[in-house]
Amino acid sequence: MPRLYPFTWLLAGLLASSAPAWAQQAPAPTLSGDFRNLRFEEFARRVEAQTPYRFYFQPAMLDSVTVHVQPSGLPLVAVLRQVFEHSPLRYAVDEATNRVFITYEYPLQTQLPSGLFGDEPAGGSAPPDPANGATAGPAPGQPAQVGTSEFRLYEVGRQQGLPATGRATLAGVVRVGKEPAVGVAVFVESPNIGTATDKQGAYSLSLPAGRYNLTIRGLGVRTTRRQISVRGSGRLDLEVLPAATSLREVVVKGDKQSNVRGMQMGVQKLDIKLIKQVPTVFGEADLLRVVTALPGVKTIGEGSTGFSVRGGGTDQNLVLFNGATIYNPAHLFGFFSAFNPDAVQSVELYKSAIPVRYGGRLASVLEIEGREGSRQKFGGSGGIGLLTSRLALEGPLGGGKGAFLVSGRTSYSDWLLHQVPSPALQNSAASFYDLSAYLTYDLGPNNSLAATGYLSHDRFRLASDTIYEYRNTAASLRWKHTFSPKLAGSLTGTYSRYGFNLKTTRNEFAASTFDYEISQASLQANGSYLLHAKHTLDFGASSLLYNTAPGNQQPLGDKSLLLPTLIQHERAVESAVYAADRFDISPRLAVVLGLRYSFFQALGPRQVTEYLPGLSRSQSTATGTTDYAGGQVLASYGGPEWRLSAKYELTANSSVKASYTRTRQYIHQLTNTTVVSPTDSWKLSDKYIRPQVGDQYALGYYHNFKQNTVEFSVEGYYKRIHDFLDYKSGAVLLLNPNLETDVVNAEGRAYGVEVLLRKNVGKINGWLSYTYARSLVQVNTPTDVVNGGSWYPSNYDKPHDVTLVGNYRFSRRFNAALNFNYSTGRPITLPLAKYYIDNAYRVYYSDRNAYRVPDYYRVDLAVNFEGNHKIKKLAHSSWTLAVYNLTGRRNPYSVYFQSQGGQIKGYQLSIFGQPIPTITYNFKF
Amino acid sequence: MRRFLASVLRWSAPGGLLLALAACVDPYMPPVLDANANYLVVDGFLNGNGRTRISLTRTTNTAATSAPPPERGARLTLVDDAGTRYPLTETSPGRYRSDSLLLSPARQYQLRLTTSAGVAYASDLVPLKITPAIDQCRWRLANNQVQLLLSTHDATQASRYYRWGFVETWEFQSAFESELEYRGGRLDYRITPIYTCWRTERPSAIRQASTAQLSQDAITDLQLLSLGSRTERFKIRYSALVSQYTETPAEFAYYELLRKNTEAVGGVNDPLPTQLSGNVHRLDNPAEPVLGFVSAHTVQQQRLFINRQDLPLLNNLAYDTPYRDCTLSKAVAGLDFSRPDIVAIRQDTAGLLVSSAACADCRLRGTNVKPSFW
Repeated sequence: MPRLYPFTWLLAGLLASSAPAWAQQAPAPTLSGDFRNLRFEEFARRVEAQTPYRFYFQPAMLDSVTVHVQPSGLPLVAVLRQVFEHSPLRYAVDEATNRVFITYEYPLQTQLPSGLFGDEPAGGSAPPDPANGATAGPAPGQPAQVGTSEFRLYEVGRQQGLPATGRATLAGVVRVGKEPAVGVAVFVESPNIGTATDKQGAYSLSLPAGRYNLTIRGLGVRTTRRQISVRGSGRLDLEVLPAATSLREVVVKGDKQSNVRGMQMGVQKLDIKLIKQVPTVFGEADLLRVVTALPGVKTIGEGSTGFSVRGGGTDQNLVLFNGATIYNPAHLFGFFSAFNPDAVQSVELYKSAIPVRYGGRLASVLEIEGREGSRQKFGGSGGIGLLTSRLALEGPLGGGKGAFLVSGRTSYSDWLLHQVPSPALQNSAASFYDLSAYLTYDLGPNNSLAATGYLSHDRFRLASDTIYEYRNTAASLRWKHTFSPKLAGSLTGTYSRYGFNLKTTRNEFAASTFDYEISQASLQANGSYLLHAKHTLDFGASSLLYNTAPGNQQPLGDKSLLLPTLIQHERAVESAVYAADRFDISPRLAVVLGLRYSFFQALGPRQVTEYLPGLSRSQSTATGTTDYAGGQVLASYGGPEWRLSAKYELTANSSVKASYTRTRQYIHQLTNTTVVSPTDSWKLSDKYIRPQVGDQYALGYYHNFKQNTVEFSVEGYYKRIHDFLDYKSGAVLLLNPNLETDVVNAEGRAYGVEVLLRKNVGKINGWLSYTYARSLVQVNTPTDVVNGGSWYPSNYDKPHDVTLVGNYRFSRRFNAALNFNYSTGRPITLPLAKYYIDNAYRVYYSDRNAYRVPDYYRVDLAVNFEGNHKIKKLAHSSWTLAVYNLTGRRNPYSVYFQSQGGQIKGYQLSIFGQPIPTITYNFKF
Repeated sequence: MRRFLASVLRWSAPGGLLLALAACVDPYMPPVLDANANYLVVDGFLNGNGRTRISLTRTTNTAATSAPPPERGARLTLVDDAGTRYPLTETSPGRYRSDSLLLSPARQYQLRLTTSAGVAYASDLVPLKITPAIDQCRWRLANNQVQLLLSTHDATQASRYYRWGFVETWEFQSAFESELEYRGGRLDYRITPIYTCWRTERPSAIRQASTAQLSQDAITDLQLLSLGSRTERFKIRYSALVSQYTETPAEFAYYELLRKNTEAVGGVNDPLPTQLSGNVHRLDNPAEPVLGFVSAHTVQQQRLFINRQDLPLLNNLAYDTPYRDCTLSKAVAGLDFSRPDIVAIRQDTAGLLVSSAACADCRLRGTNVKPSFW
């Protein structure tokens, strides 16, 4: 838009101020008299008689014009302005030669801007009078004229010098200041003729005679143009301005419109940059905590990273790190997520319309993509916080063909604990670390390899008698191959292992160790084929082998009298084949028809207990056992998983999407608490424990505002979950050889609406979301009933949720982030009364989850100071100051009841019951 | 294992450690807990061979410290499915007793009651379960644990579900034998024995078992209790009275839930407790919670004794008794012996020795009256 202004001014100058501009030379003649009711020809004749002006016009064009003016001492231009005020005719006055030109619609340009050839005026490009012709072109041998202005017309060559071909050669040097500009494009658009400058900045163009806009564009040069009039061959040096280098990186955004145009719904992608802005309790960027601030995702407890997506359980989320499953993505009771923020590129959460290539969990897929190391130079980054420090190193491999990034993080909370003046805490210990490595390598234009290794480890001891340890190990290797421009594929092998271990030494006669382990190895092949302009096929197959060692308790030390207990191992194969077709029916309407067929086989060797049919499974209904040999299938399940979605674009900025997603889950987490705890184990489906099946219907409206910088969406969903695991009261989950007797199959349903307003760029960014969501459970089997078989709120049922994640950038070096979170309190079962029966006081409980804990409300604030932006210094650093729970509200983390002297008293424990300030130092080199 | 884990989880749920800096505990008393919980509690069973004893109380709210209020002046009747009525009479506030009855196992029975306020309740009709005799109740020593083992069988295969109750009684001695007694305003030779007493406990643990999965309705050497051999119980003489009841499957399930509900008091991180009431209903409002399960069965009992000599002989000091830390001290001048917490022990060459009542007076932990069965 601003580019138009010079032209507007030029025009105005030509029309209105040409007279005063030239008035210095000779006083302009003025007009007086009565020129009413005159034909224009007559008017012109009378003006010519009164003044030295001569009119040039086509009489036929003006024969209908009647002049009706009565000037007294007005300059001619003022009179002409009056005459042609409401007419399409334009006039131009050349004061130097006293010629007046009347033209239709466009005024004739009578001169070049001042200063071009001294003050010498020049004629228009095609004046009828040749007398004042080509005077401007420098004679050969003279120094070339220099084109510095966009607003002047530069004339090149003499008409006489035009060769017989009719083309003139224009040559010269482009300079930025005194330096030649190398490799800069110099071109005219019509006809399309152009060239690039050589090492000396020289250019040469062959053009027919005529007038052109010559554009100069190139790296380090501010794009500009010169108006030239080529009459014959000649030289024109061009002086241009350097392009100011922006300090800000260049971001190429490909998904700005994905909110509206993409097929996905219920998907949120978070960039690590945004994650790092959000204040956290210990000052360290925590991607899982930011994920829990998204609509539809509920946290379970304040410190916990366990989360529930759209009413699903904490075990129904598939957490992938570069394709490998991570079973326990939390450190230290869940106060930290187990991913180093320096090793992460982005996080993507699928809540509905899960693509066919993912499967195995009901509620969501959380895909964490590792950051690729720099292919240019060796570097590093890290941070020092109150409890943890981290470091990442990266650099090129094979001369820029690949890159590596290794990162590590460790805590020193052990040291901190010992500073606390409490004997119980001094006897406690808590430490963790995680390591990750990510290697990428291009074997050629069509082949690339990526390898990932991941390890996280936690170890803690509470009040000196039990040591807990748990460990995630994961590795993946991915080979991507492009067969043709239309067909691309990838092959991924992954291995994941999760295990925990308890060592109890409270009593040396009962000292024991307990081990749990699950491992999985998988192979997955994916392909993508562009079948047709309107059809894109995604297809693939995967197979996964599980092995679990559900429990092994052994005596610890020579004095221990404990008898060893070993729960038999489990083994199973989960496989799937899948394909999806994206069909663009019209530019506005597209559908994805996807089907994933998954099947599961529980394999021997195993001994399976048989129960009386039709009765609640318990020790009392067991009838005997059956032995299955190694590799023998003892149970198999399978079924289709439909993944259907459709999108219709209402306008360029808004769309409606709908989807139906079915998912099946063959592995179940066993937890008798709702918080993810280190003793949670995983159980494979078997003869008695059926896979969980979920169906989700979702409908959404999406709208982008302000050039796609503001995204708005409303999504509604309805979900049914079949056969998820619930527990009988007092279920024993660890070291239980007959787990099927303690679990029941429950039905779940969830529904809700999520409203999200999100702004990703600009000084103010972040999102505001509101969620209304219900999550209900029903246990009503012939043998086991909870709450009389009616629907009751699940542990994740928190109907109202408002979240604001906001960030304001005051300057390049200073920004502030604010978090606001409100949600309804979680359901709880309360002891309503106590009574005395059978020689003891007993407690009468309410219906399960009939009451709620107080509402949750929290505000956090963080400010981030960057060091200066000098290029040459040892390390770039930043400081983050944050206050978690600014208002100091005591949100209940846990509500519990204790019996004290015959009274049952309720307590609420707030872990972060006061503002917690933190400071973190981050650096990058 | 589970209990241990539960306790650790409770520990870890506070996340105690480093967060002690910021963590805080506030009382939590939602309005519903303040509401005056006042449900009827029916405790007892219909005895097929003897007196039926039913105790009626009301629930209290969880913070209450007082004993549960008895429900007085109710009219209770044991009724069979043929309409025969056997009334119960109130013997003490809230306690009701029938005559000694011999009920027919061919009938079903229920308890009907009307409170003094005129509200009528009834338990579900239940069959009368005839409990087979206890074949043997014995004990054995294993790994320094004294295990009580029980064997029983029902040739008619009709019992299948069993529950046991215990009454433990043991003889014990206080830390020091007092020879002196404050009587008539001065110290005199002791007349009231306070050195040897008998303590009786009724463990509230619910113990039951089923033979439903066995081909024979027989239980052999089921471990009912396991007690450390060093406990005070075995220092002199120990006795246990085991009562055996046969149950219906419904009653078995009820007690199973009651047992699990009692083990952990419900917090957010504890296993989910169950709302459990029983089989008694208010006639005009079945939705009102009434607590208690009224069953009908006969009772079989057997008593067992364990003497100190029966166990490997231990040094006196090896036993865990609450008197381990007791000490004697010399009386200071002007000590007021009328104080109930002071007991004079004996006159020694060193002077007058005294100890605390908790260490010297066994009646604080039992009775000095020898039980009739001893």
